[in-house]
Amino acid sequence: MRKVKFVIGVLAIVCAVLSIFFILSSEKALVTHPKGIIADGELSVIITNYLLMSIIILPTFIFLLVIAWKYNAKNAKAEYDPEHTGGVRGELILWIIPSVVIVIMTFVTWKATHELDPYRPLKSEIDPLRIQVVALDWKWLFIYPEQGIATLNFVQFPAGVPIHFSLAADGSPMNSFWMPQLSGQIYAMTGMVTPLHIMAYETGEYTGRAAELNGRGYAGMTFLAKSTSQSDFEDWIIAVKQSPLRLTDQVYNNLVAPSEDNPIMLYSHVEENLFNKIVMKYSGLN
Amino acid sequence: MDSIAKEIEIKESDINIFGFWVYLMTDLVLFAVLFACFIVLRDSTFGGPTGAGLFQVSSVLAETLFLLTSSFTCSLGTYAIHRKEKNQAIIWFAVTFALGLAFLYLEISEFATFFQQGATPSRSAFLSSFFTLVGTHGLHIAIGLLWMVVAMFHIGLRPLSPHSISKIFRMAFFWHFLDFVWIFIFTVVYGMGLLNG
Amino acid sequence: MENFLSGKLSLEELPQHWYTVGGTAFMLITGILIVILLKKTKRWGWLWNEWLTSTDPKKIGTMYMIFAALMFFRGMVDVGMMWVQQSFAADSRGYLTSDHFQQISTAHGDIMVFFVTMGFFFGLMNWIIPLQIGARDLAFPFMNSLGFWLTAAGGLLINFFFMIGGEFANTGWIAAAPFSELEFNPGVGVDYLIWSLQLSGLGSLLAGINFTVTIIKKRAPGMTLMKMSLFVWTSLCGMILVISVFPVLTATTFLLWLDRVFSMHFFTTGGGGNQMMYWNLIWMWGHPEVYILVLPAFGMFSEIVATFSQKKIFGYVSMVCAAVSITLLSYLVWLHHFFTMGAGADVNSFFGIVTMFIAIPSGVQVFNWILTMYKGRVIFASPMYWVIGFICIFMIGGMAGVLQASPPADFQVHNSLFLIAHFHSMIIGVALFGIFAGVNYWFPKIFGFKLNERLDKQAFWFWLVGFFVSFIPLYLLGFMGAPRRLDHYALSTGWQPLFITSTIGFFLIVCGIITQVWQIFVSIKEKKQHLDRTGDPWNGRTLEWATSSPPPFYNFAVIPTITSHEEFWSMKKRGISIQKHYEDILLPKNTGMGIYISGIAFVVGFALVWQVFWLALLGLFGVVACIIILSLDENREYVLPKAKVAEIERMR
Repeated sequence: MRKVKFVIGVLAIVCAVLSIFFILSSEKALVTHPKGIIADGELSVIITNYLLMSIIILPTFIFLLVIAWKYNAKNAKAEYDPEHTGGVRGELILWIIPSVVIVIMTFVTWKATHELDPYRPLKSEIDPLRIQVVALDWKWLFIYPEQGIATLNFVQFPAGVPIHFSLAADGSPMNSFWMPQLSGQIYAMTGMVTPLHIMAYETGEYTGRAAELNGRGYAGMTFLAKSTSQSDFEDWIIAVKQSPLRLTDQVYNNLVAPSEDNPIMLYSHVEENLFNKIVMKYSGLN
Repeated sequence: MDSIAKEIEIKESDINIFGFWVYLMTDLVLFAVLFACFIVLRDSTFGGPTGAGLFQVSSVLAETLFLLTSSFTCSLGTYAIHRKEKNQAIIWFAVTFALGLAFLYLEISEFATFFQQGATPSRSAFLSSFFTLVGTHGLHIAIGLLWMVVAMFHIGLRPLSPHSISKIFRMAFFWHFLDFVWIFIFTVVYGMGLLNG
Repeated sequence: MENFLSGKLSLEELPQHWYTVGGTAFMLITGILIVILLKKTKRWGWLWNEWLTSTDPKKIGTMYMIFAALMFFRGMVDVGMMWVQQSFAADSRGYLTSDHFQQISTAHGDIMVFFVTMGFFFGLMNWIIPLQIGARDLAFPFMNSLGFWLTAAGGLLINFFFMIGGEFANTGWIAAAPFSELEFNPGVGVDYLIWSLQLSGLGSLLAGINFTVTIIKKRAPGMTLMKMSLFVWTSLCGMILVISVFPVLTATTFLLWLDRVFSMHFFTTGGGGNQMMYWNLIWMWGHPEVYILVLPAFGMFSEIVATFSQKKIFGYVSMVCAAVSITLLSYLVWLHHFFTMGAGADVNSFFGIVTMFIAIPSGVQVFNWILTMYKGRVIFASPMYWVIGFICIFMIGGMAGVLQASPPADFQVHNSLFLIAHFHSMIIGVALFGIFAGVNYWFPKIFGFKLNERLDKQAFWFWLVGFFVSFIPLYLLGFMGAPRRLDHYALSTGWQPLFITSTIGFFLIVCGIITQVWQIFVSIKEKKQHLDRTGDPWNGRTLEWATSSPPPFYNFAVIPTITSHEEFWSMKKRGISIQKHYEDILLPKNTGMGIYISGIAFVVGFALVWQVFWLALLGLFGVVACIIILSLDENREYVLPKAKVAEIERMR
């Protein structure tokens, strides 16, 4: 009976490990299928860290199970030494082992944190495309200051071009802007601008969503991100400039009011300096 | 009964005093949070009144004088208790009480003046943090004054026991602690506020 | 401030929704049943005199445990409701509104952290710490009672919205600003959260002061710090964290309340408010809090492993250093809860690196537990099952934690279900498993008979398998891009099968809980077969096993003098027992003041939630009056003469 339970246990663990691999290799596992340079770097960090930690954890697991099995009181053959409590030397070695791995991880962390800093512009010969993002209750507004257009719950940009997002919020509490396939998230708040630099490798459509609870519309606060070729992007700009919708002050004020599950909107015109006005609203200097 | 008396002695002089110190440290952490908020928000006047514009040097100096002196007279009262001189102790604690009351009166007047000038806690983050920090200290002072009255009652109407002596020492610690916090308020809030203005 | 007399109260605040009616009915019916039971068995007096007004830490400990168990039931109902919603809400809104779901999620977090985990730990610590240090009681017996009743008042207040108000906070368990501010949350839900946390936070702070002073000042003669048991050491570390950081929680939530009720601007979006400051302050409390939840468990596990391996704990000095270094490091890492707020690479790296350092003492502890079993003779009584399960979950959850300590990795998994899986691994795998192990281990000491071991092992398997079935999918969902606190999602994400799997795991865990409840009933029925007649059912090593089971109300007739770390083990080896030279014993009297003050405090909390300020002020005066009355009472203790002590000892 014990043997049967043991076999079932091992089978269960094998099944679990197999399903974990299966799920992580499916395209639906967004974090393990990066489509942009930042997400790619972040996945490398995740994998490196797990490998480093496994150096300690995997042997420890094995030791745990072997020792628990071998020194079971029912096993009369095992040596019994009730006073074996380790000396200073033994204890020091035990401190050094994890310390070595952690120190290595420290260097990896320092380097990776600086390289993958969302504030850091990407090294590229191409000038970055600037897009301003405003988190509203419960939708995302994207302003293209150089093109003079704006979009709601949709953002398009060319692949292979660095994108410089500037994020803020209006009428909405702390928000988090997350496109798992392109980059880790960054917070967007009122009265402050947070930058995020990313770049998509290739054309494609990606999910983006809010990752910080901000009210009843939180779960529906998703958006579509699309990367295309440079020429398709330029065509798209031209098409948006034909849109009958204009982001006037009036239209914008209506947007600030809470609403859920907003459909995608494309605005052919956006008020001058709208983003700065939104940020300065909260400083009390107007 | 010998061991019992000894146990009571240890309890009152050692354990209760130590426990009170631990509580005072937690109160200090509370004040530290309020100070941290004040320091972060001191420039967030949101177009409203600033510290330099509001604070009156004379009022602040008077408050400080009263409180510092009261700490001194409180020590005299504690010393009198130590020497078991009940009447002396009551007199000194009464003086301490009067000085503390004067401090509170000046502070409440200061707050009233600010309110009249439109400097209310809801006007700006700076004012929110100012009123909360100084107000919390004032609330502690009020509690200290109440404690002092109860202590004087204790001294007057009951014989001094290790229990009541220990309680009076703790009240005195509390009073000195509030004086200690005031020194920081005086420096960080009023001093730096007036200098930077 | 609507109305002076009734604040924001009105008839509309009475229960209107299916869940508020249901919750109210449940609480009222339970209350009425208890009253009827007490009336029929004529046990009012007994309940009041023997239990409610008691200052005996063993009784207060039991009351903490019962209270925590009741709150655990409430917290688990919350879990069930959330899992079912998430299993169905693919391309659908499910059966809960978003707002309701978010309220449940918030309540679940606050209840499990403040009332369940802390309640169970304070319970176990009350039972065992005085016994392990050779003391009769805590340093401040009345404050012990007051701390418990304040916690209970907080527990009542957090459930009171069912009856009046109908809404709880929907902000997440730490009520992050500015979402918790008036601008986004004008109702009373956040205020209920604030004041129930204030009451229970004060109770926890008082307990923290009490245990700190007790451990430092009331150890038996000869017990130096390095002769204390590891449970006492880790509890001391936990309690030092409590006293240093709970005032931060008190201050921060109070400032949030000031913003809400007096329109101040500490954390608002306008007026100069600084929302990031809330996050810094609340996590300066919040991170040490999570170590408060796990440190006592570490100590418990150390003792259980040593006892059942029939061997001294490996590396006692290392274990003490590990506990102390975890405590100190926990003050320095709070920013890792919001790497994504954009503090910059230098600041993020610093906090990330310091967080990783915590893995070192944690790793050392795991090695030491395993090495204690090495060359031991390990008896796999049911507490040891929980130990093995704990170590496995701790390693998996710990890896997830160290991963998140790296800011770039955290940018992808922050606020995702990966994070949820990590901290539930710690709270369930470490804290809860520790509590289950501790209860089974120490139950015979407190109640005089063992719990049924076979049922405990069955419960363990339900919990272990249920845990993995529930939480491995969450680790995966994080990597699939699923954030936390979602009440509905698109079917195309592919998340639904994983949510359904997690719900199956929940039901397995529920089977585990049912088994545990059944275990208690069965054990009481089979009491006579499992009586602990010696006081030492496990061949224990630490001082609590030197008393009878249960111990007399004064714990030790004679306070022993300590000569070694495992005093009881050493006494057994030398074949000696505690001297029988009796003396008079000073003991605290029972008092109802803890209940009165907490009852008034509850009214104050309620009044402040509803802005009935005259009532709150009156209540505060009431509390002050009670304290003054207490201070004038010189007869709060009594003496048990040595003749009586001798008589009780003879009869045992």
